[in-house]
Amino acid sequence: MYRPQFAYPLPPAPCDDQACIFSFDATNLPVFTGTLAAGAQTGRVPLKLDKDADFYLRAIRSQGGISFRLEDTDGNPLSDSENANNPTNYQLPNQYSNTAGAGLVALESGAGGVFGPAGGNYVVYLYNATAAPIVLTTCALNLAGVKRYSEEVCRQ
Amino acid sequence: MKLEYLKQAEAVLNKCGRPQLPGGISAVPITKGFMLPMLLQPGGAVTFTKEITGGNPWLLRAISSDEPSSSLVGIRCQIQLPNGRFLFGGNGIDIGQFAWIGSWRWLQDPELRCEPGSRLQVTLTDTTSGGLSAATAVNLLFEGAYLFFMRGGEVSTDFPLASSLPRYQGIVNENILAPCWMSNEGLETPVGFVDEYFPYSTPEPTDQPLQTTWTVVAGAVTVAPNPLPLEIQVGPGFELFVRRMLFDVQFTSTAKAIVLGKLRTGAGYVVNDNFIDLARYLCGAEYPCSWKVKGGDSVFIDVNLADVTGSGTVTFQAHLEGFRRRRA
Repeated sequence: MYRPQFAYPLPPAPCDDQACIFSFDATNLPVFTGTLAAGAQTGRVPLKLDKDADFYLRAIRSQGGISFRLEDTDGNPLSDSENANNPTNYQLPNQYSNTAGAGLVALESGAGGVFGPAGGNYVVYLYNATAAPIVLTTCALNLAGVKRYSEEVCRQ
Repeated sequence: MKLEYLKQAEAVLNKCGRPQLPGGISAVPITKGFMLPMLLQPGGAVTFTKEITGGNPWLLRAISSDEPSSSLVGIRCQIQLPNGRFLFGGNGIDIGQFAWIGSWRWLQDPELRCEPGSRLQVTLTDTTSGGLSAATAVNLLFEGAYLFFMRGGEVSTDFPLASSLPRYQGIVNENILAPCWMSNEGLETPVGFVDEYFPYSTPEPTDQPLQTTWTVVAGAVTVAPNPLPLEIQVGPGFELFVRRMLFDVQFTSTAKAIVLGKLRTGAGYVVNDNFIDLARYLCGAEYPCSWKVKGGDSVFIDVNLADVTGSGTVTFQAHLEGFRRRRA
């Protein structure tokens, strides 16, 4: 039987999933209001999640030429992180999240996505892999996935 | 809506297999979209509302936007769904980052059931510094389907959800582009014979530089490999079945070139009758059917350099990967 890629399991009863995007840009993340020099990188930048439900990250899309590296809410890197050659540690948007196709890069995971508890923080590190400064107001990072509402949340 | 059409649609969907409610009740989805045209004045923050009209529940399946999804236009968008929840976390999303049309539309997965009379609310906020230069139109198309519930139709058979299946089941060839032999299907080894994985190769450039290396000076070949053509001998007692070919072209210093080649066997079989860029066109692709080379025969590879530039060396090695068959 043909099993399409990126089919995610149903949430365990009585939870229900709802599609959701967390979008970060200069309007809600101060680091995006500045400029990042050529070859420079930022420290850890927390990406705050909503408190109403757990979130499962399933896809990433970015805007602008900035490279980034994500960590989940437990501090686990979602890509290489300790290579001496910095570009190896960061995803280059032109090769990954700035897709010219359907717009999102889907992650497949048996858990239904990269888990982030309600109110948790993903962490992002930005890196300018180019030879010119990048004005970060032109950049955005979108985390797409589902919020998993549990029965307790639904009662509220 | 004609009842007969709904019955026909239900019959078709039941044949496909789908979940049914107790009592044999099933739902027929009929496509329906809601357009929400909006206009945002400079400095504005406005909430627009769209009611789910009609007498049936409606499924939200996708959202299209007239703003391309690869820009930052300074209009913040937040969508409150009929169940009261928000589509975007935090303070919403720039409308230029959300969605566009066609393949760029937002896929609402899982789909969201909206009851008749409930409302979709879209809030647009001007977040540009100094305000938008002019009133800006934003149009969203909420795509989905009305649910028409039917009772008493043909009962559909159980059908597992795709998400409940393992990614790789290992029972059949699941990659429709892969050759059948990759999943151990197809022609079997004849009785009395044994197949062994085996790559045959031309001389290795480090050990045999004279047989594999061109020397290039100022865009001209001064020394060519010797002897040419390259030859791969298949030992007597074996038959070679080539499943793919690999070509390794290496350059040193500033030398650049294309290695053109022709492949043939001593028995007269010709793989390609004119010179082609071997590495570009033949390298690595697995063949649906193996190329059989008889025992005691040889594969000859006529090679030439083209588009030669710079100075340095060009080395070439070919590998015929597959299996060889011998008597048990």
